Amino acid sequence: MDYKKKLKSRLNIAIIYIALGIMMIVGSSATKTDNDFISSFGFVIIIMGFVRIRNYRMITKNDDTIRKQEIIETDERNITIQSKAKSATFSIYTLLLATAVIVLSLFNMREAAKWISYSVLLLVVIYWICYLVYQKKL
Amino acid sequence: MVNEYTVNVKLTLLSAEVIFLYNRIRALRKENKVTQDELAGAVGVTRQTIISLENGKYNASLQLAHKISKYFDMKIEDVFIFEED
Repeated sequence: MDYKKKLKSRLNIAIIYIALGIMMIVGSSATKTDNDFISSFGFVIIIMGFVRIRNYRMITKNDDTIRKQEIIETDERNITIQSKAKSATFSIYTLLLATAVIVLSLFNMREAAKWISYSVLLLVVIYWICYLVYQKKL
Repeated sequence: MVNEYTVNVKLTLLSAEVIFLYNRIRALRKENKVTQDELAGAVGVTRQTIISLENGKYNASLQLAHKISKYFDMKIEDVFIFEED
């Protein structure tokens, strides 16, 4: 995909973020549910949308800034670093969850341990699905 | 081929065979009076990637190796040298 098109789609996503945020705030006050969580979440989404728009404007200042940003995003070393960081995060997170299951079981908190075990299981299932998909792709 | 500008990366394979990968990027850059920024821009990577390659911290992909060799108008095997132990 052309990088300029990619940037344009990011701008569209930012606009969707802002629209969603406004809808959440308006919806939460209109239904008089006084749901603080939904309105604050909407507020955060609006800010995220504006940050994305600001980034878009900074990147698309001129052709040179677009080219520089494209290089940063497509740089193979950066991609390798990201991939390694994600892999390490997955391993550490799984290990932490497994430790939490053991600790919670020791303190007889079976219900919490059960749900965390399910989340570990889900992670492993997702890992294997991804593994099989990439095995076919590569 | 191998000089003071050459760095080597030790690659250990599963079979315990040890291979050294040398690259001559720094030497070629100096010979051709090219800055890291210029080379990075020409091959579409960041300057940090060129620094890592020159310091032997990172191994280039085949695509990048091809682009770098093409930039210096050389063969891949003349820029990236494999040596078995």
